[in-house]
Amino acid sequence: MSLLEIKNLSVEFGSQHNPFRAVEGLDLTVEQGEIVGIVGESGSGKSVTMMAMMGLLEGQGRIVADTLQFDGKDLLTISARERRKIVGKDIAMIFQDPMTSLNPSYTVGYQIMEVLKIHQGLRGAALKQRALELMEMVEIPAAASRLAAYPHQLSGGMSQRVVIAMAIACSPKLLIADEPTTALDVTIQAQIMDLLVNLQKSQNMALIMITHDLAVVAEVAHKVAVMYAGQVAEMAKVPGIFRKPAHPYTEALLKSIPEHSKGAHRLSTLAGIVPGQYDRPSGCLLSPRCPYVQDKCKAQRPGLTAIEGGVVRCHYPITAKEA
Amino acid sequence: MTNANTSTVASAAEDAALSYPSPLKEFWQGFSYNKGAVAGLIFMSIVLLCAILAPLVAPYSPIEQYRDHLLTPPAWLDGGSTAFLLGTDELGRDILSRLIYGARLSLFIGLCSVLLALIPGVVLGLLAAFFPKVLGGVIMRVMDIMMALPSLLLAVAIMAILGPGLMNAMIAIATVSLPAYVRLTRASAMTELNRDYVTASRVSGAGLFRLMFNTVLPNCMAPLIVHATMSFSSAILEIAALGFLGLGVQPPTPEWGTMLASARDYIERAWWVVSLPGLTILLSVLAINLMGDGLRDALDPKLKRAA
Repeated sequence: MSLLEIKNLSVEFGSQHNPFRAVEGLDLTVEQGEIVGIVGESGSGKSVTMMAMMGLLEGQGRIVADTLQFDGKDLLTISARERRKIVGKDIAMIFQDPMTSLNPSYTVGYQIMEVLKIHQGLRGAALKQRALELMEMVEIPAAASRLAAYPHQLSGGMSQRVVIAMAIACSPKLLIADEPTTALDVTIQAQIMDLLVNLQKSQNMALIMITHDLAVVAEVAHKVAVMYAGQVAEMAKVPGIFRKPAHPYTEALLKSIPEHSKGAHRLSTLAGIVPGQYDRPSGCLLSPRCPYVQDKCKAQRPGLTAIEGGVVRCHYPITAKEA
Repeated sequence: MTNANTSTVASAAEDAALSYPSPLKEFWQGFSYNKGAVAGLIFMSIVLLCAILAPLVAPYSPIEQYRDHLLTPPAWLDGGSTAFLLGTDELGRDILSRLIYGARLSLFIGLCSVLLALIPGVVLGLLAAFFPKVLGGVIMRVMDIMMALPSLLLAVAIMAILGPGLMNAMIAIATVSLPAYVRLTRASAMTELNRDYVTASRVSGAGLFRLMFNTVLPNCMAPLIVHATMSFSSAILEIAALGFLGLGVQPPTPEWGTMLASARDYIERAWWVVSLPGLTILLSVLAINLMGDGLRDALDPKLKRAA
């Protein structure tokens, strides 16, 4: 059985009469020890999906799903108290901006130890020892003295390492990294990615990587979901999805990477923006921007079609083309 | 990374360099930069010491009446005597002793009414920030109504209902200053609530109480501490005003405001009976406000981040 199973998940914001669907009919399964990449433009529903799964949207969004299971437990029906037990211990999350994801009022040592104290019941010397171990595991130099540091005394990269240490403190089964490297500079990005992937292997966690960076996903992920306007446009195994993208949107994303269009004078771009709340087309959501648009695309929304190694949401998937 | 040998050497060297300044030291650096604040702190420490050690410091009992020395001027004026350094009042009581004992009461009232306003204010403000839809709306509207009334009028009205007395005066003053705390807490809690670390602690399974008091509250403390210091001084002023109106502390208990009130008939004949308590109130309030400024400098998160 899969570690995480999401079937037909929708998240709506706003009033009943005029809802805005941030996520629509999303299916996602994650196996133990698997790295799944979720890519897409800003506002395509990547983060909202994860927030919905962890029950962080209470009182804000309406969540509907056929299945929302983690490790055999139904996340839709369990009580808030039960969910808090799972969510802290077995699911952990790393946020985009390390400078705001640590509490400025406490030392980093205190914050790591708090997690260990509550979820693992460690006390005294064992607690301190484990906190130190974690700090060393994420390769923080002079770990012992940094336990006494406040977040504003650490650099961005260092803070992100602390955040990662807190996230893996309870050996979670699933780690969600929400654009973990976006706020860091390029050299640190590579180090943090290496660290995450190494930890993923040594702890045998599942890792969901939410990112804009296709290169990162191409290197490490086993499976990639490309999201567009709240829907999965294409989900397929790596490297198949990069060699033969089936969805025009995936293809456009890949074309817009500078390395892929060497020699060309201008980067190829996809004109237009993601449709907002009021300008969603009645047909395929990509139809106003798609270079291969047909009449059927404008009239009818496509469903998910199985392709080799995955699924695609397109009436006319690109097949057997030179990438 | 590097081999084990060099890395231990390097980390030992780094350890020495990494002795982070303690929060207290950092705070003192920010605070002592403001000279006025330090002066205020020194003045208030003296007042506080006098208040605590009143029986030792004061030359006479505050309620002892020396009938032979009615309205004696201070020592440095004609007709003054060194026996009564700051002179005596209309009943022959030593003003210096009364001021020293009065400090006890005035500081105690200031502290109590600040705490009586701060604690419920913080709780209500946090509740308003965490449940913005219904509860928050109700709390804030009630606070708006309280703010719409002139504060002294409201305090007098509350005193009229509860009856005069020390405890009731504190309750009245606390009630009047409550809305400011609620608004302040709610505003800073709402900005903090959108930060990632709050979501992060939710993700790691923190419950509502932990989120409210452990995660969010410490980050809202800086403006609250500053405001509490400032309202400490206004509480002293207000209790003096209530005392002046005869609603606060009842004579013969020495209290600065009551001293002012009972001496106002003699203002033309014996200016010191009125001026000295007035001056004490003025200086204390000034000192506390200066301290508040220093606290703001030291606790302002924006200045801290830049350091």
